[in-house]
Amino acid sequence: MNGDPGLDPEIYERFPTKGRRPRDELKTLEAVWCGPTKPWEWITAINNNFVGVYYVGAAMLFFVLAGVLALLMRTQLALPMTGFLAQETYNQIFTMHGTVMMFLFAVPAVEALGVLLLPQMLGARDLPFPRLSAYAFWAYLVGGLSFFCSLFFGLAPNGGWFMYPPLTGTTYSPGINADFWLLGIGFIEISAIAGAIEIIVGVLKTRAPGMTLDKLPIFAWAMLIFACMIVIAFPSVILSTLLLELERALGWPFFDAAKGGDPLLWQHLFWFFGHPEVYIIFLPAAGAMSTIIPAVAQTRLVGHRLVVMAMLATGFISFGVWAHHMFTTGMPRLSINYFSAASAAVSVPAGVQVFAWIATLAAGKMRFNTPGLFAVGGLVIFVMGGLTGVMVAMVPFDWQAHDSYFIVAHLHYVLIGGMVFPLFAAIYYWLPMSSRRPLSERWGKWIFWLMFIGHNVTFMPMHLSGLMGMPRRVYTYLPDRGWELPNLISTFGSFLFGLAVMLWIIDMIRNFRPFGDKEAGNLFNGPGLEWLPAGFYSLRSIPVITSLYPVWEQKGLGRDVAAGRYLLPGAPRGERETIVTSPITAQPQYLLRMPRPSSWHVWGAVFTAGFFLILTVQAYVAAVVSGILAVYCLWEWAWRLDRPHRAATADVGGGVRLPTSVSGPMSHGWWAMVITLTVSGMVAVMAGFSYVFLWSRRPDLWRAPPDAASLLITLGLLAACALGAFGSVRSLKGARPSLAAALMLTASLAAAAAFAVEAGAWWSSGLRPDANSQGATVFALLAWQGVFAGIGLLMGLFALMRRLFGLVTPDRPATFELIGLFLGYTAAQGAASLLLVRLLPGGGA
Amino acid sequence: MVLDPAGPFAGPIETVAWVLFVMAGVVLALVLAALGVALFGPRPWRQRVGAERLVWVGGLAFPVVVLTGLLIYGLSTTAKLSAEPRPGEMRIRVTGEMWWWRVAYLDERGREVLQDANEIRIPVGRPVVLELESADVIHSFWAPRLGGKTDMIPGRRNFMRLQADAPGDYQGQCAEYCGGPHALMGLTVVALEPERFAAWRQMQAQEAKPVAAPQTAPLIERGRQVFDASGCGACHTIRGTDANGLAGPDLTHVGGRRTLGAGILPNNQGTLAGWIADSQGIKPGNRMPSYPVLSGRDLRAVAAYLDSLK
Amino acid sequence: MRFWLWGLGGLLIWALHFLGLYGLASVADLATGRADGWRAAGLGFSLACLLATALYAVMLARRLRRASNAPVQVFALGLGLTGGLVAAIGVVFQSLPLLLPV
Repeated sequence: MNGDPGLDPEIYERFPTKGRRPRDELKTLEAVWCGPTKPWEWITAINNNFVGVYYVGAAMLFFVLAGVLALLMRTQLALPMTGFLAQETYNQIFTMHGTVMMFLFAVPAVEALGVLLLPQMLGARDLPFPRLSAYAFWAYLVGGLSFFCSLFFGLAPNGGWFMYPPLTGTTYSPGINADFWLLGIGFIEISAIAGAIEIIVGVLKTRAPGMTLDKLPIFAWAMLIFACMIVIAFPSVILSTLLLELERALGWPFFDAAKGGDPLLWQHLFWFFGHPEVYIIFLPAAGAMSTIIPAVAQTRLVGHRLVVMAMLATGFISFGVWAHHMFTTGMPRLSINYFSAASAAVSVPAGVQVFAWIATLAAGKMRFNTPGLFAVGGLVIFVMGGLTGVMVAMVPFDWQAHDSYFIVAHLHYVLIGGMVFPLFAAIYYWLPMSSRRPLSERWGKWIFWLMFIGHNVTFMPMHLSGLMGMPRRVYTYLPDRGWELPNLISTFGSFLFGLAVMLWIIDMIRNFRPFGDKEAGNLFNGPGLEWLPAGFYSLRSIPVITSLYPVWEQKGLGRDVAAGRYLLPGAPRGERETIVTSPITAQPQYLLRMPRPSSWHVWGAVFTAGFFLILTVQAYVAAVVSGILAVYCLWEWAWRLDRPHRAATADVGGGVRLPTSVSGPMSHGWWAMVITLTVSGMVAVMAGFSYVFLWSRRPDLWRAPPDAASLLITLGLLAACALGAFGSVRSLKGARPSLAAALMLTASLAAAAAFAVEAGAWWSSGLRPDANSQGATVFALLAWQGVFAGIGLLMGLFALMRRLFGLVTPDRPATFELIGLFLGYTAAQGAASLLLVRLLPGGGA
Repeated sequence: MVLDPAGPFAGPIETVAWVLFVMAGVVLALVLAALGVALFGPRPWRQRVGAERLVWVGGLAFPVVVLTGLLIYGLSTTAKLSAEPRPGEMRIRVTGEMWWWRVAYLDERGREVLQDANEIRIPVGRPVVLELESADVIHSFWAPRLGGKTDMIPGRRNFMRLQADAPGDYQGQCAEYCGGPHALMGLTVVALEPERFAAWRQMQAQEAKPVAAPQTAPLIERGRQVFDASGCGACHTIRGTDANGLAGPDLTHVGGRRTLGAGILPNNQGTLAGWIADSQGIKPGNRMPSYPVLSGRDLRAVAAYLDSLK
Repeated sequence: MRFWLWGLGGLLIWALHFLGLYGLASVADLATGRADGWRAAGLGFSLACLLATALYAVMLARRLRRASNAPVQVFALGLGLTGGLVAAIGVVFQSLPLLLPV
């Protein structure tokens, strides 16, 4: 049933090794993994111990910023018709509160937890693509801060965090506010996808030997599912933001009913992303709960296998509920009912997890420390939010509650109970791993109770005001409705909550001391590998795992790991390394060499963020320059990849020898490319859905496609591209590198030519992208293909350059394999999209 | 208000709401009880709770049973609240505008025979079909005591059925963020006994006839002149005069409405004057400009004129 | 690959069921045929999915008995069984709208 390579499991018996380690082994390891010394090295650092802390810090900064916005909103709404905020200001503030919380706080915060914790928890030295997560972080920080600053210029988006057209089209939102949202979200999307790649490959391929899937920590399961959900869900919002920006900038009518578009297309695309998004936010927090509660209760998680199943089920079923945000749009009843049923079903796995937590607390002995308090408090709040969720899953009730303050109450209960409280539990629990001093337990209890009481005082009355008829997103309300008292109480509660956060900030300043030599350590007696003694190199040696709770059940593990008695106890090749293991049974496969700090990814991030932001302010030349510079930085980064090793195999300890590099489906690079292509494929699928959807709404607008001749030419060129790519890799492995490079370049040229032919054929047929919905969708699919053709060309050139510089040898085909994958995908995507738009609805006369 | 229904399209929802609240309360109590036992209970109790069986029973079996029942109940209630127009039902077309409601009463053949704004009058005890459309962005029609909400989406026509079982005024508000003063886009559904409704329809069908006592006639006449001279007729219609603009609400019988500005001001001469003078101050961003240029006398005159259009 | 298919099979069937029903409903909206025919098709498809889930569970149980000494296999098969159960619940829930009047 598993196709894992056979490493003789008896080899594990050699560990822990006996005898003393060489004297300078530890010193070399420390030197190779040393932290920043000069000022700029803090920026070029790529070690997850640094980037992870930066990431969590940035996310919490955005939490506080968006929280301040919330306090402004609550001040405005404390009484009817206050003039505290002008209408336009309020509309920008509430939009930014939601957008910053969802995109700049929630997803990055849980991703950051993964970046910080996963390598240690899995027994790896670092994430598999350290510069990728650093790139993701810097793009997110630069882009996010710039985006937030739009508020100070009165240019913040004001269409609500889900930005429904036509309100957000150019007619009704003529300023660049909406563009800030659309393009600003762009780099967040890149960050999230980059993080997802990191986490999938990290969890599945860089575990400690012996950490078979049944011994995978529950938090790692949660992050794995989280990352897979990002891969499937985020493409939908990537597409919808691209489409709305095309409509705004170029007039391509996707959502404009006058020309055949449909505002509901946006809602389908957005919510197909938007609902999984909230489970994307919830799952890692639930994984944290499933880790912290056993630690607090000092007992194993009850129902571990059920909890894993529940998270998997949540991951799947959450993709089937999106239209419960659209029950009032007049969709056909039967479809609405399916979504109601699926929405009921998705609460079942959540219930499984809640009861597993309760059972675990009962099986052990709860200690009322701060992490425990936040965990239990979060559980209670989440259950309440989940129950109101079941209520609004029932269609008739939703018809009253939708878009009212009842929903505001519901969403804050599930998000704060299901994510914010677990996040604070996680911060209190894991901070001693990174900081010389823990946070104060005494302050922590005050902070918890203030936050718990503050939350309930703020959001409980909103159930009432919603049922009294108060809609969402209102900058004020009239005095005769009876809404004053609930609003006043809510405002009071919100300041309690804000006070709690402020106290937390003060305690962080007082006590958080990261990046030092000593950490506070395993104060709560947690069971996971992250609690073993560690340095910037993470673990001194990579252990062989035999239990799901290693620190509790493998006696002497910490001592043996720190003494170097396991795998990879040093850095004999003078390089940063970790071990790649097989996905299911965690058998060592090869040695992964990891990079040292560098600056290309930082500049790449700055120019990527710059490209999106400058485009928003319509300084097109500067934007293009920034974009070109970003591509240049990425090229330089890629150029340094896939370099030869001194030896084909290496000793990783105990006499075990592993290859120093592999190619093909086992390699981490292959996996990263496949995941990236899955993301692209999902974008293409959603674009295809958009085409079919708009056609089904206005089939009268569709005209016949160009004739079959151009179809055959294009298909032929695409076939040539695929064959050329395949042939190129074959030639390389057959020791003909020059032929390989030539074939790869030719393949990329074929894809580009195919795009040109197809685009030309449609253009000559008279179809125009701004004319109607057929034009818009056909040319959108073409444009997406064009992006791939362009990147493919760059890759073909890259392949040629590698050959010219002598970097292409038959024993190391990885770069060509990856380019081949990309071009093969490009050919398949091109063929699928052109067949779709030509065969549906088919040629006319 | 959701829990104070006034018609058969809100009543079943209220029942569903109570059933759901009771369910939620019971489940929450059970969860809190289990949690309480887990945290504070005596050892033998905690041993029973601290087993995988609790996860199967409490996390899987029990929710499935409850949810199945709820789902069947919810689906059948949905079916009961059908929005399909039945033959013979009165139809009213409501078009959402930024930030008011254009109301048009339809005859049996679907032709618009009467225009109004921001208020919908229906006869008590009979279902009425609303045809919901939008002239610009997405709005949502919501009168909580009479039923759930339905969106008004450009390019689509949605149907909704409403019925009031007792005479009265039923407040509503736009429930889909439509930018700007979305917060101030209210509406009123006025339910009248059938005879009074018929009488009202009769009166509405007539052209504008300023009701004037002899003392006020000159003021009202002056008001009509100011209305004409200020170009108000470019945006507003008053049937029986030259004013035939369609951009803004129909004012033929504006004096008889309960509120102004889409449900945000009581309707009297003072508020009429105030609205005309400074609608931007009252409802920032709305499509009607303020008229500070009108003198106090003229304002009073126009207000008196409009107020007289009962 | 097969490992993951066995572990996630139930949930994959759920996904297929959901997409199938939603797709059928969308096509039914466009087509002008009799509504009853589409309902019957949906119910038939639901039944097929339930049978597939049951078959999948049976096959899993057999493999579970055989693989009782390899913890990873046991783990994955157990995941598959419980996941299949939840998926079956989802399939039943999603079929209810076809059994009740719309």
